[in-house]
Amino acid sequence: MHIPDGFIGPGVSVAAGITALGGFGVALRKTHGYLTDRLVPMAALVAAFVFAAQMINFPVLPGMSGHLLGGVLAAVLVGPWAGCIVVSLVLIVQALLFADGGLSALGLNIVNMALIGAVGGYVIYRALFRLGGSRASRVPPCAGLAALISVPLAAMGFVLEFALGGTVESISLGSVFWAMLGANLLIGVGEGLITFLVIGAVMRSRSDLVYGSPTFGGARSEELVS
Amino acid sequence: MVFFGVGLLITVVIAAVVSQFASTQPDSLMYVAEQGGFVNTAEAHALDQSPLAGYGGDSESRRVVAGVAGVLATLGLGYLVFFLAKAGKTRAEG
Repeated sequence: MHIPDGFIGPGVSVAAGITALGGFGVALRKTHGYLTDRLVPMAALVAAFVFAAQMINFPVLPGMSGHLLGGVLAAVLVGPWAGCIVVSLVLIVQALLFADGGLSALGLNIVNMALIGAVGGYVIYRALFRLGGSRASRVPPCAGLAALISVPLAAMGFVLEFALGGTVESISLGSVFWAMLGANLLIGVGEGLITFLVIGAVMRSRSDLVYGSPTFGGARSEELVS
Repeated sequence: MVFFGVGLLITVVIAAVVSQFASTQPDSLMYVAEQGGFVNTAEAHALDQSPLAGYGGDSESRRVVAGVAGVLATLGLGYLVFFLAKAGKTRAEG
C-alpha cells in the first residue's frame, strides 16, 4: 500500500508530512513510559521482522498481490507508540534504500500504516481484548482480528488523502473507495492470519515480551506492567 | 538471547530466501490505480537508480543482498533510535 510520488498533491503530502513528524515525536515521548533495556533489542528485531515480512507479496486476486503491513503485529509486541516508531522506521528504510514508497509521500505512508495501522490498530485490539475477558489465550485471536480490520482502515487513509489531494480530477471517488475497501479486506485476511500465527508463536515461547498481553513483563518484574 | 537469535535467523531467512517466491503482481493500491486510470500519475522515484532499488529486481543474488541489507538497516536503525530514546529518558530522569 506504499503510495508513490505523484498520486497525491503537494499540499496534502506536506500536511501528512507534518502530521507524521508530530506523530513520531508524540510516539517517542509516549514510549518513554515503558522504555526498558529489554525493549530496545526487541523493537529493533520487530522492525527487521516487519521489513522482511513486507517483502513477501502474496497473491490475493488474479493480477493483484498484498503483503503484511505489520502495524498491529508491532503494536501488540512492543506497544502502540513503539510500534508506530517501528513501522515508521521500516517505511523510511524502504523509501530511502529500496525506492519503495515515494519520498514526498513518506508522510502519507507513515500516517496510513504507522499512525492508523499501528496506533489505530492497537486501539481496536484493546477494545476486542477487553470485550471478552482479558485472558492471555485471547491475545493471538484478538490481534489477528484487529490486524484484519487495520488494513482496510489504513486503505481508508489513502482514500481520504486521495479525496483531498488526488492529482486527477476525473476519477470517481466512490469507485476508488469501494475498490480499496474490497481489495484491502481480502489482504486483511492475510494480515490477520499472519499476525495471529506470529503473535501465537511469541506467546508460546516468550509471553513476557508481548506488550499487549497480561503476561507482559513476567511475574518477576511487575513494575513493567504499570 | 535465544529468542532474539532465533527471531533474527527467521527474519533473515524470510527476507533472503522466502522473498524469492513472493508474488510480483501489483499490490492493492497499484491495482486500483491501474483499474481507476490514475496509475500514470505516479512519478519515477528519485532514487530509482540506487543499487538496492526495487529490492534487487529480477536477480536472485541481488534480492538476497537486498533482503539482508534491509534487515540489517532496519535492525540497526531500530536499535539506534530506541537506544537513544532510552538514553534520553535516563538522562531526563537524572
